[in-house]
Amino acid sequence: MWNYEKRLQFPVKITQTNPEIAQVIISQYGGPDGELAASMRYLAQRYTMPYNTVAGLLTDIGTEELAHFEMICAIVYQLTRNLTPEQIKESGFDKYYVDHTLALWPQAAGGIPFNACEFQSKGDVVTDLMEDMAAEQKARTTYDNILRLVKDPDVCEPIKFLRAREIVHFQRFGEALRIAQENLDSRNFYAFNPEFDK
Amino acid sequence: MSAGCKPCMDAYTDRQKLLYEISKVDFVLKELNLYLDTHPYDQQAMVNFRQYNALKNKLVKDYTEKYGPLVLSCVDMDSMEWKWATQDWPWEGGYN
Repeated sequence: MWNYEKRLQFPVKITQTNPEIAQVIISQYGGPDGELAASMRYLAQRYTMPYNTVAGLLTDIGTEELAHFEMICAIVYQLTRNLTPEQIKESGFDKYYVDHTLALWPQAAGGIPFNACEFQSKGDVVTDLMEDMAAEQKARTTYDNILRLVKDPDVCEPIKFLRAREIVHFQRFGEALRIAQENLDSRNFYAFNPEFDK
Repeated sequence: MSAGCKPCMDAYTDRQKLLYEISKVDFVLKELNLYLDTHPYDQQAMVNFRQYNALKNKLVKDYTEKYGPLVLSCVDMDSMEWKWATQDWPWEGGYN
């Protein structure tokens, strides 16, 4: 189960609305390498993970990712607060607005809705941890791409914080893979799948 | 709020400063939490976790008494108002 803390992991306080950039940043909510996919990926993989420490890491990073998509949603929400119909039209936000008004809805920047196909839960220790390490790097690349487009420091600071977390998670998943491999046959990691073969 | 920008902190209210302290301490705890998941016998990290956890609990208690609840396990007992729900939610940006 979970408990809520009534604060963001890193503060988000944006003074200048910017619906153009909101349409880009929303990808880190509902896009292919977004925080929602990250959280669901790790929290789905943990049930069949045979090593307690690795299942713990999946739980704790999956939980942190919930706080990350909350931050992304706060950024998008604050970037689109109190928009006028004229601003919505001029910025191209009208295509999102017509279906969701100013509510948050998980989609990629290109408008593709969030889909469970955005993440893998394959049921094989090596496969899933490799997937997780790649996912953290893909999210880091996406944040790098966002930072090339955003100049407002109110937006850059929380995005830079989230980018740094991808690097830490990548490191920890690398350690988890090492732990898993220490438990496998060192002559052939693929000799059997501990999530299935007993 | 820019991290590590000391002079800028002067512009913030006592409430924001205390919340910022809680965020910093909690960040240390999150880092230690993930590190300990893959290094579960690191004695120094466990000592650090206990210290920072005690500090966080103290700061959250101080914050709750002065401004309102951050967690439901630590609520203002004397208040006649359910501040958990009546106060702003964190995505509004008002008290961050």
